[in-house]
Amino acid sequence: MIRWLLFLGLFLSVAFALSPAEEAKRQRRLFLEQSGGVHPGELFVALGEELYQSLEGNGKTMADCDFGKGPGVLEGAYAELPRYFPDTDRVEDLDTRIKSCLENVLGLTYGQDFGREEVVVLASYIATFSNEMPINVKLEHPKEKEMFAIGEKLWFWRAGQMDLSCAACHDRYPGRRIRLSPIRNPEQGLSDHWPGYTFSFDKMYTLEDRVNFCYDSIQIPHPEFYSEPHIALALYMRYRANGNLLDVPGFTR
Amino acid sequence: MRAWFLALGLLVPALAVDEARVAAAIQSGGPRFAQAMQQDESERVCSQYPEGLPADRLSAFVARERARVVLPERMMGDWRRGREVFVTPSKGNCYACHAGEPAEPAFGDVGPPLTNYGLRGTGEAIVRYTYEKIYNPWITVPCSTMPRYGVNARLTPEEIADLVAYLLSPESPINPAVQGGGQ
Repeated sequence: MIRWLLFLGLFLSVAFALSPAEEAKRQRRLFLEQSGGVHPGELFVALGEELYQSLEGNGKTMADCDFGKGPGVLEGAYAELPRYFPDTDRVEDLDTRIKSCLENVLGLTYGQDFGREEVVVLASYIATFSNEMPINVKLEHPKEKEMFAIGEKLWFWRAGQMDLSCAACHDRYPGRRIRLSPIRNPEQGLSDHWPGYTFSFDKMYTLEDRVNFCYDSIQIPHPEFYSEPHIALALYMRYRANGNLLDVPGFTR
Repeated sequence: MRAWFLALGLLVPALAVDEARVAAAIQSGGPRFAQAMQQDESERVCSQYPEGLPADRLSAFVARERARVVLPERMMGDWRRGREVFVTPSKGNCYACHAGEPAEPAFGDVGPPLTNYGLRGTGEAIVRYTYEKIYNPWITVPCSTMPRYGVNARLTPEEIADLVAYLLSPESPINPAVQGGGQ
């Protein structure tokens, strides 16, 4: 019933042509009214908080993880990701940084001690410390510049059975729609609301999950989690979105 | 012309990256991703010039794409089967970008509406044009967002002929304004 009402609402809003940002706000308001005020994303955030405080290994906890603002500092960290990290000598997005800290600092093993679900809820929790802060991604280190250039290449890279690229829709047709879904470019907030709750799938998605969904939709089997295409595209989209306010946990179709 | 390129060079940040590095990044996404990200020559130049092909690249591009079209004897199939191809997400998925039958409200607007496309008649020239347009849209609009359904074997020649029939037949429900047809 809730879902049906949402689809109806979505249709009506298309009929009255709201901007993508207004449309997102409207969908969220409608959902909250229907669900008694509970944002499902908050449940995932709560799971993440629990995990953040309980994980340990090598005599260390996640408070020893450095997300770019110093060990244990979460405030504002996500707004500046992806960024270069000297300890791993590479550019990392939030998902990748969580994984590398749990492996390198706490000595845990991915696929054994923790997996994708744990990374998603941790990312959801850590991101909330940057909610409503302006995105502020920098291209200072040579590896950040290089990763941005890779992201730009991938953004325009047409391939697959449908000859598509990110840009062929998101840069050519922002403001129009694919079936009923509004198309946005990065400046219009394409990447501002991840990690977010997706009511079509009833799942929490990080930006990596969302990029995977996009590739699968255009018949290109998605890149593996934590791989360079993810980091490069996140850096590219977020740089173009600099100054936009993060809206996390997001809420979306 | 040269001045224009120089001006562009000043605007774009000097963030070049060599092809081998990009290829390595793509490889890191895994073998299935890397395989699917391989490009033909036309995809490569479309990626290189997202704002549109330079004039001196156009004729070679169109000639190459035209040479890839294989026309069957029968270019107009069965409109009822074509309707299935049109609506099925794993086939044409045409509503993603185009309006079609007036009764279907969930359509995208990236491409032009196709409602009453059949007003163009069913002459040999429009049948052929429509078949070619679906088989390879890059002949008429180089680097169009529309997929090359025939070239990439996303649709079979029979499925394309069925789509042509769905778009052009006076009996097709996509053509309510065509005299003597509609439902």
